[in-house]
Amino acid sequence: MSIIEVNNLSKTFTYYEKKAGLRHSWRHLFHREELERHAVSQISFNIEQGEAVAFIGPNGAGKTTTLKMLTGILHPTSGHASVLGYTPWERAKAFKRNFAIVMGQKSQLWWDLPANESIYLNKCIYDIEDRIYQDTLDELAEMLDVTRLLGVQVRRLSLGERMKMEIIAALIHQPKLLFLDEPTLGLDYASQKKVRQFLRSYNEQKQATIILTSHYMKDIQDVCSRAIVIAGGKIAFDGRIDAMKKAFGDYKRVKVRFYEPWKEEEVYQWLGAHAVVHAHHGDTLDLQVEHEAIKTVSRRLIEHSGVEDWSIEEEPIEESIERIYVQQSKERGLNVGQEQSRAAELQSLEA
Amino acid sequence: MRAVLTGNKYVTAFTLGMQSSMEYRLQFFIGLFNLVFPIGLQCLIWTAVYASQDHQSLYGYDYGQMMLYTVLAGIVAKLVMTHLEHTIAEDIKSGGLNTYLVRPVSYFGYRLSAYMGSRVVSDTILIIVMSVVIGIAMAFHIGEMSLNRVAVAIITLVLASAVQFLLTYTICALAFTLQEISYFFVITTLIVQILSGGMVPLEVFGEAANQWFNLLPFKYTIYFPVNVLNGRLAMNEAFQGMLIQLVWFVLLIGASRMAWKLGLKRYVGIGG
Amino acid sequence: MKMRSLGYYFKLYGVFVKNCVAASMEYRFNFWMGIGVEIAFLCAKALYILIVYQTNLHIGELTPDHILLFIGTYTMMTGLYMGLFYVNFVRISQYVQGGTLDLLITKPVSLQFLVSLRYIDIGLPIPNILAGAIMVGVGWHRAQLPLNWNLLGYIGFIGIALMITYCLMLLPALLSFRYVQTGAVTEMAHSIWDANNMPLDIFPMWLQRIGVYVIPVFLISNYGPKFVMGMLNLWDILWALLVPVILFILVRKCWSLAVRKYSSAGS
Repeated sequence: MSIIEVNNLSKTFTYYEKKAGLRHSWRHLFHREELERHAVSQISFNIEQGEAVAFIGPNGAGKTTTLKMLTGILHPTSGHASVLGYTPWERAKAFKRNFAIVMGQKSQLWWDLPANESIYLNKCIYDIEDRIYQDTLDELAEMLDVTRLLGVQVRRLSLGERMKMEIIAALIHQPKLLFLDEPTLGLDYASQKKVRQFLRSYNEQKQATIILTSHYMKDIQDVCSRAIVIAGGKIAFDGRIDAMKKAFGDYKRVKVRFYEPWKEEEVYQWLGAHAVVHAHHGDTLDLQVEHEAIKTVSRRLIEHSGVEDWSIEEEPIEESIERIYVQQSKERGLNVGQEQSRAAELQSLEA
Repeated sequence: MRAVLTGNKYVTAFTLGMQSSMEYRLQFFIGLFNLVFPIGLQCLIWTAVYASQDHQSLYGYDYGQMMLYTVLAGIVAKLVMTHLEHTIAEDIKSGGLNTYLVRPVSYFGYRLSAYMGSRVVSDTILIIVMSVVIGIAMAFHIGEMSLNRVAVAIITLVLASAVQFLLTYTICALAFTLQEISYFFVITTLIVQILSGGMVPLEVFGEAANQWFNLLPFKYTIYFPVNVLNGRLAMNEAFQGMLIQLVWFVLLIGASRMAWKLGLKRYVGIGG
Repeated sequence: MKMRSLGYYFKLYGVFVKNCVAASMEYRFNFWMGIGVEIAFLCAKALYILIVYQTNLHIGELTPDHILLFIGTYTMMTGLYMGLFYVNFVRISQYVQGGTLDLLITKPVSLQFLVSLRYIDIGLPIPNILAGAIMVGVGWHRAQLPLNWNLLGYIGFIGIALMITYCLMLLPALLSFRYVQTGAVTEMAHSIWDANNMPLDIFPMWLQRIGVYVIPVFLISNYGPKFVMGMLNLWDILWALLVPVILFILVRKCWSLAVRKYSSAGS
């Protein structure tokens, strides 16, 4: 049986629109026009025990909204979900005891107290036995390498150390299911690496299911084996991470350096429809080339006398995904970024 | 938005302040209740006090005058008190002030314009309510109202608002030095309200205390304009008071400039 | 099971208190500032006492000494409200806007308990409780009221008042779930609260009825002193026992309504 089953889950937000200007302010005082935004529409997927799954998507695509519905924070507009056999938004206490959520930008730690006080509070909330609590705490602190920092006030910790404490506090009741919303946001490289390593081994050792959203491809590649790409509230891709490339079109990145600066129009004339110029700075050129065309392009590069040096690389996965987003928003016939930032602005005013 | 085209940034700030004051309608409508309820409570207490011992006059006020004082002081307090402390302190603490410092705009000018804009609607309502009260008082011959007095009182009210705004603005400069300021503002607001005569007439404090109050700016923000309105002060006393208001106005301009100059020096010094 | 869970919540509250004491030691400046704030408020209350004694105010059978007993009770209750509840209620809108509420929702413990009782301010209530207790003591003594099982009843009424305070003041705070700016509502609740400043006898009869039976604020600081003076009949006492129960049920209903609204509106 799947640990998470999601069926046609949708979430629609309503917000108010207000036009600029004094006259509209006055009208707004008495009458407000309600508008709707479909944050998540009709998504379905299953997740098995022990899987590590990444939710990928641009800001406002619906990742966090989905996460919030699966943890029972938000009530969906329609659809069904079953998590650990419970309907999350019924918020049964037994359900809450069996999962944890870490949000990169929200803290459950008491700012002015040492982290172990907050963790101890969680021990009381989750009603954990003393011995089990001590063992779990020791083990987690050791894995994350923060044992000696447990007694330091949270506000004196670095961002990375604080995130590690958040993770310990979240995992102290040994949940079988862990949700993470942007856990490495803003952390330095070393801390990011440590958190990733930890999540990977926690997933492997404890057979814990991990669901993660992140903007860092490294997080996703290191921790997860499966990705669900969400764009515009819909699932654009669901499958193994290594299969993502195929699904998004197999492109290579060709980097060329010339002896002398080149004009962009000349490049087009010369390579024709075989390549798309991705970046162009004077004497260097970044080309996006489809897999099948790579031979043709290579041949032309060898034959050209102006080329000093060139290399072929895999296209970074971020860019493959970005292509999906652009495609999606074009299909919807509007500029997603703009619409969303405006909606967010309105909501922050109204909440 | 037309203001942007004509290029006057302070007019823009004024309109924006006015718009955001209308953004939260709950706040707006409940504000009316918060005006009437505390005043009503005060009136009931005074009614009980006058009834209990058959007092003809207490602290130099007869019953009608006391009611009038309580009602007018409640309205005037709402008119002149700014409640800007937290906004300004927030600007200082969170570094929001930086965005003004790097722009070709005076922070004082910006805040003042936005503040005046945000007050337009509520002040209009307050002035209507006050006119009704004055009308009733005139009809029932409570106090010594006349149109001349009202005209003089309007000038004292404008001066009182200016003094109060500068007072707040000066006190806010303390946010540069003090770590945790919100508690502090609760204290200052309360003390200012008591010493201004916003709660009870200053006569309650006795002769000796009033000697000291004369030396402070507070009584010129509520107590004084109210007593000009209700006719307890003779015309020549009213003009004398106005002169003192002007003196405080000038002094506070100096004080606020100095306090902010010192504060900003410190602010820039520690890097915000 | 019920008893065990009661013990569980008491234990949790103990951890809250411990954490808050430890945290407040961190900010001694704030601690003293909090005391300063309350002393300022006390000065405002002292004004009323001044007027009561200066004008030798009698309200019905109540002498100035009796009135002092009422003002003292009100002062104590204000301290308890500020220290135990207010510090939590003002945070609700921060939880909603900052998203901390999302984290709290996922905890396997009553959300209302977690949100409405998590913080305790140690500094704020000290001056009020101290000054209030002194006023009550002085009033009690000067009015020559007997000091016997009366005291127990008085303490019982303080307990009831605490329950009523929690429920009545939490209700307006619940609006923070829906609206960004709730300053005006809080102000409104506080100005109603201030109606306890004086014995309810100064109000017209219809207002007394409202304050006792509709929005039972007057029970908070009037019934304790009235009980001591023997001014309550059996029906009044029964009503005072019933009100906290009714209010608590009401608050629970409104709470779950607010949370349900929050989670279906979302942010």
